[in-house]
Amino acid sequence: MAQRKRATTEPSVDIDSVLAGLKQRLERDGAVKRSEIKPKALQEKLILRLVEHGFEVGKTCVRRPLQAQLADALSHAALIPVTGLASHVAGASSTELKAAIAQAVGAGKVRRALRGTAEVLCGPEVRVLDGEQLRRVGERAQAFAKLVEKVTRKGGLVLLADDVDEALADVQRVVPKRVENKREDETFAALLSAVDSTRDGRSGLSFVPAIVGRLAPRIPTDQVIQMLVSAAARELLELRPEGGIGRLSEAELSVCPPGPHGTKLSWARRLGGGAT
Amino acid sequence: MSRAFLEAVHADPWSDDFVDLASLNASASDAIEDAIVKLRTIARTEPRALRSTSLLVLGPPGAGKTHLFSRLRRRLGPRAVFVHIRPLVHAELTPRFVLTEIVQQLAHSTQGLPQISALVGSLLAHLDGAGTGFPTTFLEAYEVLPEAARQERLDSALERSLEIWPDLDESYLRRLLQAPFAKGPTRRALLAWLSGRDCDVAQLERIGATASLTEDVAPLAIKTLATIAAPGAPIVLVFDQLENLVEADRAGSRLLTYAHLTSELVDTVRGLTLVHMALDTEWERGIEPALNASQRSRLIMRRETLNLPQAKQREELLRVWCERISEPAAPFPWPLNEDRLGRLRSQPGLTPRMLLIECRRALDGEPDEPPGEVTPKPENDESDEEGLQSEWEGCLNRSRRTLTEAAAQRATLDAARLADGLLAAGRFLVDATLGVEKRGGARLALKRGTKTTNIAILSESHPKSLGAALAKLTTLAKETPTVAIRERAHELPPTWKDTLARRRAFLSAGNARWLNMDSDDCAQLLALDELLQAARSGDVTNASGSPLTEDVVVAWVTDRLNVPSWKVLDELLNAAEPEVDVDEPVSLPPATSERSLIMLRRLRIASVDRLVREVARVEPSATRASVLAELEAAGKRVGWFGRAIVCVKDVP
Repeated sequence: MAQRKRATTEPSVDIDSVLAGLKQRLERDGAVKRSEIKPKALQEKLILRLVEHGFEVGKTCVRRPLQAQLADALSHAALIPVTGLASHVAGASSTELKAAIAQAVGAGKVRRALRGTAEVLCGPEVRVLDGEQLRRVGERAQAFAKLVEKVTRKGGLVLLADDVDEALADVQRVVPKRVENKREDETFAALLSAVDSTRDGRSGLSFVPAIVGRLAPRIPTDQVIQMLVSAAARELLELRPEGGIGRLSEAELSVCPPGPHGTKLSWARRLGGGAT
Repeated sequence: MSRAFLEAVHADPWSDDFVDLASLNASASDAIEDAIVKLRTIARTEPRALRSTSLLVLGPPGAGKTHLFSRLRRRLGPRAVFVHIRPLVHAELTPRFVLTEIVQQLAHSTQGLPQISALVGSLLAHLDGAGTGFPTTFLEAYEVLPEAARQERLDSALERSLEIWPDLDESYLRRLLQAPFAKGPTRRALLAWLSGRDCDVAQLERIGATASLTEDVAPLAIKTLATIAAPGAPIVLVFDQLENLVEADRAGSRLLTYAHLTSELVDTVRGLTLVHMALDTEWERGIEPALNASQRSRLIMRRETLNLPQAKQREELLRVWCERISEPAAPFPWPLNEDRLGRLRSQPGLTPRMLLIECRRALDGEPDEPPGEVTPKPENDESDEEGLQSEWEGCLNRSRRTLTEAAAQRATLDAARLADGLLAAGRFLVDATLGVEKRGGARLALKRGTKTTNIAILSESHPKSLGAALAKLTTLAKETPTVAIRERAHELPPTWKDTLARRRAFLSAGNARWLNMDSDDCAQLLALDELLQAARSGDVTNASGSPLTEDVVVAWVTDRLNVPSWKVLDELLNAAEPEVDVDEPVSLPPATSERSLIMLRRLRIASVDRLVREVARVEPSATRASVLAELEAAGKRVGWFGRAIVCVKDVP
């Protein structure tokens, strides 16, 4: 009998420590399923406390506010394809995600840009051309295109190089000027974008030779390696030593940054608001 | 000092005293813990809906895979049973091997409580409708009861268990429930029987069994163990260093055997948590592509990739390690300086093990090596030599400990582990190949030129099962050369007359040979297997802590250990010589020889050990086996006091 009585006694729970653990998980993972919030008897109470601390309640989970997750994902001039956003924001349905994007776009915190055929999202610090600027660029580009067409059609005529320079500079003048370090930020954005696009969905890791290959036509290999190391030092990325036994070819090894103790850093993982 | 520091802070899977930074790889340990908790909840509320679960943990060398095992063991204490399994690389992985590993590790303690007590105690608590968090309380309540009353309550617990889980093995469960309350030899006998090892006659009598568990019962035994453990202390099977399965067999058959066995466990056993640990790249590129979709879906229900420590975590790790240094010369960051600490905080790619090595280097007063300024490595590096010698001695010590533990349990070594060791040593043979080839009781085959010699490892403890094995080998030896290997520590006693007769029949069957393997030979084989597996996993380091490649380790073994000259391999190679006289047993002298009897007449009475020594002094080729055979042939002319003392009866 005494043993049965012990079984029905509810174990005392330190709510603050449970709450601290949950907050830690939320900061790390972005969301925690409701079913994982235990003990069950205290679930509602814990959720209320989490809401008081600024977390949001979704249909099946509690999460960091979507706007904050979006801002983190788009920090450091990152560019994220709209189709791949779900892997950067935890605990949101596609409807909730669409609404969050619309709200952020409305508030000017997020821009939707077209790159080739793909729509990408970017933060406010990324240089973009909006409606009026686009109209002016279009007008000047069309004027120049007409001039080229006229010269071609008439035959036997040429254009002065200075005039072409002037016409292109006229178009260029509409494009917002880079502030200091903008070039570097863009390169970093391209790097992070390459890391995201080469990420293995199962392991969350990107293969360094694949990142280098993705950027190779535009950015020299040495520069990519330097940028990877620099991004790791800024804790935007985690560079990981190769764990394979003779798996990499000479060509692959040559584009991996050297790691400690004679290793090669062959894998990268996004940190912070990026990939898991 | 420095190596001692490394060993003191580095996680041994069974150590209770190690440094842990909870935030590091919290996701992986939480995932495993969640799986265990979920499984336990289902086992309590819907036992028939219970299934097994399987997780994959990947990371580079030194990222802390084995550390997770220690952390979870400490965190969950008696609320789970942890089993750490290094897979067999060369020999076949069977359910019986898994069962043996589980039961052997049930004897290990967590927080001072043997895991078998945690398992049975929490089951009894669950059956009584109580909380399972304090198994010791329940065990104590049972222990104070008179034996008859306790047995009655255990029988009742057995009945209730079978009502809940009717498809369990009743006799297995009955003996499992008795194990925590048994003492001394009875406990040893119960554990030997439960583990599927071959029990001797005395052990079987002691536990009231008629025979040891057979191979085909092993899956049901695992099922019984896992199911009854699930409501209180679920069994967590951790398969570590799986990358070793890749290279061992390019055809992938070992890998597929592993995948098949673990998939079967997921399908047929309820309540198991399987954790597979491997190097990330090796899994992604070597293991996973070899699995079919069905195996993948069973093995990888969840995948966790271990993270490396970030700057804050690195500093915290270094701090807690440095706090462990006895009599520090200055406060933290000593033995590091600010510059070195700064570098270690920010340098990309540092794993916890690398940080530990850096800490140790600083403690040894070695200068800092900024990235890109690696000191060129001299040829024949003394540091490599020193580190490898130390690693080898460590492996040897662990193997000797295993042998001592087996001796204390009066158990033979696991034949599969020994076969794995032999096969590992076989890599270093020059003009012969040693491989797996099951045939008529033999499990290995040594090929030299056109000649094939079958090799059997006889680990049976019961005279009947050993006799049966010898009968099979006798048939085999009539056709092809066959060597039977047995631990010398488990030499056949003179009282096993029928088995000795079968051995004689085996030895006179044709190309037969009997090989007694000394404890140190066994230790060498096990140690070599462990060293080579650690090398493949990137776990072998030189004296300054830098990892050594597998090639370096293999070259060192070839150069320094001279494996082909090891006694057991030397004798096997001799047995594989084509010139061996097929009509004459090689190891035993003719039974008519009376040199032992002559010596015994001089001594009148002596221990067998002394007699062997004295005979060997006169006749260097004499062995314990040959002396025992002569004594046996002497029949009633000698008298025995137990198994160890012998006297001569025909003194004029």
